Amino acid sequence: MTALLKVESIDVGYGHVGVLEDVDLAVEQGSIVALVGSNGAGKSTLLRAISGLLRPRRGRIVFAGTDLAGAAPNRVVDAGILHVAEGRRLFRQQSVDDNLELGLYGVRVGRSDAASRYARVFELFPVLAERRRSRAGVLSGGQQQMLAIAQALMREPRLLMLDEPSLGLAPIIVDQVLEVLLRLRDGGTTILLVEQMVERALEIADYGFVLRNGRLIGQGPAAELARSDVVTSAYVGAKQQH
Amino acid sequence: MLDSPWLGRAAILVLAVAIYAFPLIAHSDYRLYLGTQVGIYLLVAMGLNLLSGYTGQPSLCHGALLAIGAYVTAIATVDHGWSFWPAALAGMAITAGAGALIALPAFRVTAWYFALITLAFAEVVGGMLVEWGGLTHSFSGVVGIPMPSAFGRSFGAAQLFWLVATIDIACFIMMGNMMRGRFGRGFIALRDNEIAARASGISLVRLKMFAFVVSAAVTGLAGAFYAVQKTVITPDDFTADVSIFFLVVVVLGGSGRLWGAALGTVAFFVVPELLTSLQAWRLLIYGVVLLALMLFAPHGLQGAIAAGWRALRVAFGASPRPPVRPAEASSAPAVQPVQGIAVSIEGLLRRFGGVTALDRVSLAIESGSVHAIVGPNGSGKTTLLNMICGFFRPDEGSIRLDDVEVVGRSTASIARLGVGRTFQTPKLLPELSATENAMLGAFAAERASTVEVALWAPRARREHAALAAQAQHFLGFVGLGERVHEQAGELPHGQQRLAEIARALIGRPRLLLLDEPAAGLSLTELDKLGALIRSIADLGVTVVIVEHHLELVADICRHVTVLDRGTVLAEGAPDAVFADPAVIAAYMGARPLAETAP
Repeated sequence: MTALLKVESIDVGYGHVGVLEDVDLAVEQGSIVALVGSNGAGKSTLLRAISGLLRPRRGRIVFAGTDLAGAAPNRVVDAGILHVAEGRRLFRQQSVDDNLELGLYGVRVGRSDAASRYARVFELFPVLAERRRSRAGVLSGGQQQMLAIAQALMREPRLLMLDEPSLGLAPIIVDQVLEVLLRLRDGGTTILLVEQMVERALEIADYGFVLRNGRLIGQGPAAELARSDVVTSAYVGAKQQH
Repeated sequence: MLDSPWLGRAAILVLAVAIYAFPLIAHSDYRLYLGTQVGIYLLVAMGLNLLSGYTGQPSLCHGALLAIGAYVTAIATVDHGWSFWPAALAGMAITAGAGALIALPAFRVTAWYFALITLAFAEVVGGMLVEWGGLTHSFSGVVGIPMPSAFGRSFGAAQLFWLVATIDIACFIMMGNMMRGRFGRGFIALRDNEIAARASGISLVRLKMFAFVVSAAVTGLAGAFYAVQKTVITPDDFTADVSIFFLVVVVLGGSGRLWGAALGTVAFFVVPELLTSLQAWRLLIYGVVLLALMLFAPHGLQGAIAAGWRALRVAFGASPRPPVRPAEASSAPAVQPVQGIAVSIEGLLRRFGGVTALDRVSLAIESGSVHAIVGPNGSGKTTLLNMICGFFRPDEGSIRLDDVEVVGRSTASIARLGVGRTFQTPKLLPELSATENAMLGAFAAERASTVEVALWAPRARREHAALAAQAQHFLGFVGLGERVHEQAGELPHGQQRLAEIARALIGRPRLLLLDEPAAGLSLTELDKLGALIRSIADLGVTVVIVEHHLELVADICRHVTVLDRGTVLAEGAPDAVFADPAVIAAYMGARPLAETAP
């Protein structure tokens, strides 16, 4: 297997404040990779750097052989990386269908191709098929999270990055969302998952990385990582920054 | 050296001396006239900055308010023989009344509509100046407006300049005092997050009205000076351009920043006047400067200067921000025990369109207990919290806090009963520090009067210091002791939730509503949150918590209510409820409790 995404020693910060320092990360094709660490460790910042929302000060972000460090977000999306941000950023006044259609924005797809993409996401999330005409804003939290993922899937991404998909979801819905991620992986989609429910994340992941205070402090196969102390130390030892 | 407080004070002293010495060194009537006009425009800009910059109500009618102040003064002095002083007061009062009038639609409509309404108001005033000739002399205007006089002597141009300069400086100082006191926090809350303002017990109507009246009164006073300076005023002095000019001054100077109005007035009035020798190029230069500012100084001139200053500090090897004094040794009183509120809810019904969010829910919450409300997403949990604190009104049913029926009461009055809350997505004011955000929660408890705050009188000063200490105390209590000076918007998500809890606690709630406080928290943070909620409950506060982390719920709650599609599915002790097959099927899924929350 080869690495679909390779992040090589990047530094990222906001203004004068450095957040990530010398971080390396690799995501194998067709795997689920979990990125864990306490709040403020820099997980979301890393996702934002990969998706082009933040420009790294140093380092390379190689995706399928191309260096994307500093590329505009639309170029990153065109390359096949989709970022589902924390907190279900949907077009709340638009219907479920419209939100999915916006997921295809700028993609040239034939009618039959588009139809099969809709069919695929509705097959993954049957509950969305029942509510195609509802406004996204009136969906329950779980349905909104599913819609956010479905919107990203409309583009058939090569790499799907999810930031805290379980946030604010009922336990039974968390189960459903994680189940879908496993099915997506088995269907060939590569997934980079940031999740605060570490145990759950490492359960479904193949490989994991641990961040603490902006630095990588551990990595390994998820099952091994779940047993090791490095994860616990990332939280217990996490000092507040500044 | 850059951090010496004397540097700032010396700069201000030099500035004040320069201002007062200006008439002596101006050597030209034209320059003196210009100087006075800058002072008048600065007053208007400060008034507008209060309303549009701090409070976020975009006004396109400050030119018209200036006209009202000017015409009242002119008509009273010229046609009715009043002396300047009562005429100016009348101008201020009538303009303040007009401000109250335009405030009325602002309570109902969004900012865009409000801007259009103010534009219409300006047109109406402009029309009246022309059409109501019997009063305003129509196009010929009011002529021969006398200078103010005192002790039997009429003012000259220099005296008028000094008077205007003194009022500007006094207004500037009072504005600064207001903005660091509770009004400043309240105004910014109105602008950035009305929901946070309501949850902190702020009466939106009263505070907005206050902002309008003060803003209009200052502008009316500027109008009085405008009239005497010009000696002749006509409708042509107050076209729509004037209102837009002031908006440009405030926005490009730095809206919602104290020095913004002053910088804007200097940059967009004085500089173009000085460029008159370049007649042909003037508008072009002006346009290029405007464009450059919009592109490169998103926060106006003051923002650009602040950014430049930070860069300079870095170049000199200092840290980008001045060091903050560490929180003073806590003189705040220890967190005191309270008598928690008992909640009793009966037959609560609420529909949104065709969806029944809550279907006749009844619920009793004991005083001083920690009570969890759990259930699938969309089961009505947040709606229930929103009804208890008055954000929504139920279609049917009753909510009693102790013995007080609260259905139909305003959020501010419910908050004053001792109800604090936090939100699913933290609603903080991102530009203010964690301390200032926490202080907002005590808005309703502050006692210093408007005048005391404006003059920074001892009582206001004491209250401010005590409150800041309390805010830091509560931030320490929730575990943010090291981040009290940080901007709220820069805190990680989980800590923003904690800051919200501190903001609620400073209002000394007897009932605390927490909406998913644990979402997005890490393992250790979860433990700390559990301990925090327990210590809050130990004070006697009734805590109602909506949460999906069931381990946390089982750990801290005596009682759990499960909602499902707007009805109560189960209730009782956590052990029993989480073993209930119906709850497992509808909510928890197949996993046993111990593994649900890591």
